[in-house]
Amino acid sequence: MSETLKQEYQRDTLKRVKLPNFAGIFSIKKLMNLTIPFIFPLVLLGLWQLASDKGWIAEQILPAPAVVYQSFLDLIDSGVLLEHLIGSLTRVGIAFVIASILGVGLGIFLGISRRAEAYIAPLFEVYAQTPVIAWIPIGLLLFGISEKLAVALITIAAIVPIIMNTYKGVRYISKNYLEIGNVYAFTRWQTIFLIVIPAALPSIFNGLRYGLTQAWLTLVAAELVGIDRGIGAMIVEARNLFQLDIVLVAIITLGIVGLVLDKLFVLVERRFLHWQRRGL
Amino acid sequence: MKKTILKFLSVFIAGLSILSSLQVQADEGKPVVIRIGFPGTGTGNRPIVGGSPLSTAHLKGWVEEEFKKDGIKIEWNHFKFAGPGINEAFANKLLDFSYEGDLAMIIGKAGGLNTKVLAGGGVRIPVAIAVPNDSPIKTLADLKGKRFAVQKGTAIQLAEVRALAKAGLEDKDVRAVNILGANATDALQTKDMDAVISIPYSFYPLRDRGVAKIIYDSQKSGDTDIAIAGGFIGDDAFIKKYPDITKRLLKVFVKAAQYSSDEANRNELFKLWGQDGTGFQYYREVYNGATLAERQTPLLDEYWFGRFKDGIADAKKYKLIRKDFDVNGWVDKSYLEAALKELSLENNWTAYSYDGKPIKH
Repeated sequence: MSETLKQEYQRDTLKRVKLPNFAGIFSIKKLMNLTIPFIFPLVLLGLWQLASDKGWIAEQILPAPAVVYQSFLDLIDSGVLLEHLIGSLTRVGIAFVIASILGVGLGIFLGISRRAEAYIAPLFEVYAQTPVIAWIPIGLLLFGISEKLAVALITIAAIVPIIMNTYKGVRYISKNYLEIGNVYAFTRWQTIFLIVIPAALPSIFNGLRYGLTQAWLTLVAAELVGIDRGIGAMIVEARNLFQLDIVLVAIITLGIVGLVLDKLFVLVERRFLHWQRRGL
Repeated sequence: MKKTILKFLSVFIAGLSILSSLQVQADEGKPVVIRIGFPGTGTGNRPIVGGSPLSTAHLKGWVEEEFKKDGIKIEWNHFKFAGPGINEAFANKLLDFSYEGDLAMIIGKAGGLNTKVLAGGGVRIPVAIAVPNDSPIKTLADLKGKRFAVQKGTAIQLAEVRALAKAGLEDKDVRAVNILGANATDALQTKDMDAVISIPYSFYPLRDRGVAKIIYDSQKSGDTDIAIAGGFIGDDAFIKKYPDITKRLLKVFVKAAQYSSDEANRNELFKLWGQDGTGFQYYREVYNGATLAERQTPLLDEYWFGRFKDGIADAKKYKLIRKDFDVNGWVDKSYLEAALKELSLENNWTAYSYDGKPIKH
């Protein structure tokens, strides 16, 4: 061993010796990690309180946090919030189921068939770039001001990531898997159900998860017109009645419920894909 | 990073100082601009809304005329979202005066807006409910469980809850959906809505084409308690700062109210207002059997106070506002009285009592 190499080796081992953390530092770090997510919201809350104390923004536009909190409790108490939430969840649920069935189906079709890919994929890529709001005039003509319109708009938004991820997942399956299928002389359907879908499942789930997020994000826009029960309708009505505290309650509810839905989805995904996790 | 933040801050501060210097310019005894609001727009979003003394003043150009010599610009704002839009504009200090229907005015005040009522200019304004021509809905009670378009937060909503109450129904007994005026009548045509409530003349074109039928008209039913009232309001800070300007504006308003109340102008007036897309014929029809003066009166008489007292109580009762307030503290009659005196119009209009009967002098 040359001199320099020896030195480097020593430096390396020295580094390695220093590596272990002290228990104390470790727990502070852990504490920091737990606190960090709350710092920014708390600063915002403080700013919000300050802004309403100092009257920077008219109370009619930005009510004080305490007022919003009280309205939140009142709306939960009276069952009004739950009623609107159920309306919205039902709508999103229906739209998501439709988007999932159509999206996964079309995604697999695009992934398997080169011809379908050649014909449909370019058009789909264009469609994926259109904002949901742009579909409202056509939706209005097709469905009128109705529940169907809201569901259709949410479906339009949710289906994009579902198709995209399913299609990519199916399209780029490892060739090795397919070769194994060939060895076993699988039929086309066997290949699809025993190889393609299981292999693409993580990607499909990814798409479904984004689809759900998109559905939830589109909810308010979809409920702006012609809906009597729903968080979006609640926002419209509260705005018209100049009750911005209720608008804020609705926004906060949207955020919290959206997050919960996403976390729930991850749980479902874990159950379905536990074999994959174990394998890793 | 630090540099960018500093840069951003300096731009922000520069922006603020420019804004505040603009404010200073506006403070020299008179405003640079007077911003006046109207609830709604005319047909096809045209910036004309007829039906009130303020409409007459707007269409005749009398406000511009009054303030031309001072170089004060008049800015007319037509709010597509009607009363709720006006309230937001007042809250954001984007509006100085406005004409507004009762519920929106009440909601704004209950929500803490610092407005003052300066004049009336609209009472006994009828509302109607229409359904598609082949609809089985015949009475108010039939509306139960139906999709019912209501422009929420406007005077129409107060009329809606009151009309439903007549039939023993509540807002939650119908599927009340918020839709803007023209969209609501369109929805009637496409049958997306089972019923729509609005000002009667918005249904006349559909009725004449055999698309819709009017199942309820507050005027024909003699339901004066369901009719809409309105008023001319101003931002208190503006009024305090420019009392003379306010006084002059009220003079124009009263002059316009006089024109709009004079039966000799009936045809001329409906033609003028008809420019909003409603048309001469339909204004004439909606005023059938009514005098101009009884609806266009600028007076803040006992009848007007009664309408608003009841309006506040009903808005509270139907949970459209959360805290009530005293109408007396909201009204400042002094500008109206000064204008009436100056124009020698103190006795031009009949004052009505709470129950709508003329007060004999």
